[in-house]
Amino acid sequence: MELDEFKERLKENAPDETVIHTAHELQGYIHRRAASSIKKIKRSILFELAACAVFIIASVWAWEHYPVSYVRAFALLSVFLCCFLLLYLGALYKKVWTYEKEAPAVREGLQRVIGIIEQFTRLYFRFTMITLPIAFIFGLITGFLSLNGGAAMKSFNWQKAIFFYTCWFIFWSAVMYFFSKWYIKKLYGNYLQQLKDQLKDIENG
Amino acid sequence: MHTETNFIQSITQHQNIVHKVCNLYMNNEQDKKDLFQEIVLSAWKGFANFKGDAKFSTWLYRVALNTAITFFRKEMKQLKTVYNGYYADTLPDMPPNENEQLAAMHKAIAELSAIDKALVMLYLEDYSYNDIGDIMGISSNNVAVKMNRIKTKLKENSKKYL
Repeated sequence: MELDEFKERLKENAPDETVIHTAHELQGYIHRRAASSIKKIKRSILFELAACAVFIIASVWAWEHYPVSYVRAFALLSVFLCCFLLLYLGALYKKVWTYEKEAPAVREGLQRVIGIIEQFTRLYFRFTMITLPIAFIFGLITGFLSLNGGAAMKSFNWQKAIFFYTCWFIFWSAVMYFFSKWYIKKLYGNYLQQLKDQLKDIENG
Repeated sequence: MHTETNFIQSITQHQNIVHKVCNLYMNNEQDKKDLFQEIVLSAWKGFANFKGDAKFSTWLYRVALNTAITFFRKEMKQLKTVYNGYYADTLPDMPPNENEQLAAMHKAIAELSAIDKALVMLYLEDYSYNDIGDIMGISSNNVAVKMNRIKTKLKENSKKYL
């Protein structure tokens, strides 16, 4: 059977327009929680925006209550990072919001969803990797200051401690690198690949 | 103008479009129900931007296909679809021989990729190549090339089920 013949047969035997869902049911659907990936990303962005705001407040509080140079330096660094994140997440949120409000053609829709997911996962990965050396240096300084002036300082082996701490840092960096890669792939890997395949399918004549 | 009442009224009248898209892309009832609700929600979110320069049905096809094609499900293996009748309701009233041919074509359509399924659906709904191109975001020439390829594929694949 040819597709055109099939089309004709369907036209001849078209089912009646049935109303399966009542207006009341449909009204219920528009007030429910969305389950699509893009809406989940939107919720994550909102959560991270709130977390950034809380972290900025905490950093300002730390700046005020701990007038110590290294605490202030880290408070300033945290505020700087959070402000950058706020701007980046804000721009990403706007993209998601615009996508939701518009009804783009299927090809453009696929391009936008792929772009949003790639941008979101890239941010997640890079931010995880950036915070590692910051936490390492902060830990190093805190450790040094807790020993400074104490009796333990005299017998302390600096070379051994720095070597140990550096190895520990490299180990955790490697763990976090592979864990983040694995986690992102687990969350979006197959889905993203599927979307890319569909985009390729629509773009190839 | 774009009130909830207007939207509910329009979507109630055109809900068959959403059902067709759900039947085309999902196999089991729960997945169909989830996708149906997601499409209705997506349509509602975008309804304020629907300016009426296109028909509501064309706009709804855009929203429904976008939502269905990008719909996230944990069990991705299910995307390798089995038989799911696009217009399965028509089958019982047909003569047996005709019925088999239609069922074979339904099964062949179910084997197509998500994009090809969308093209076939719009073609069966009598949209012109220009309109299909607008909804899919490709040129009408590209639609024509793809439709020729799909028609040949469906003719061959439907023979397997006879």
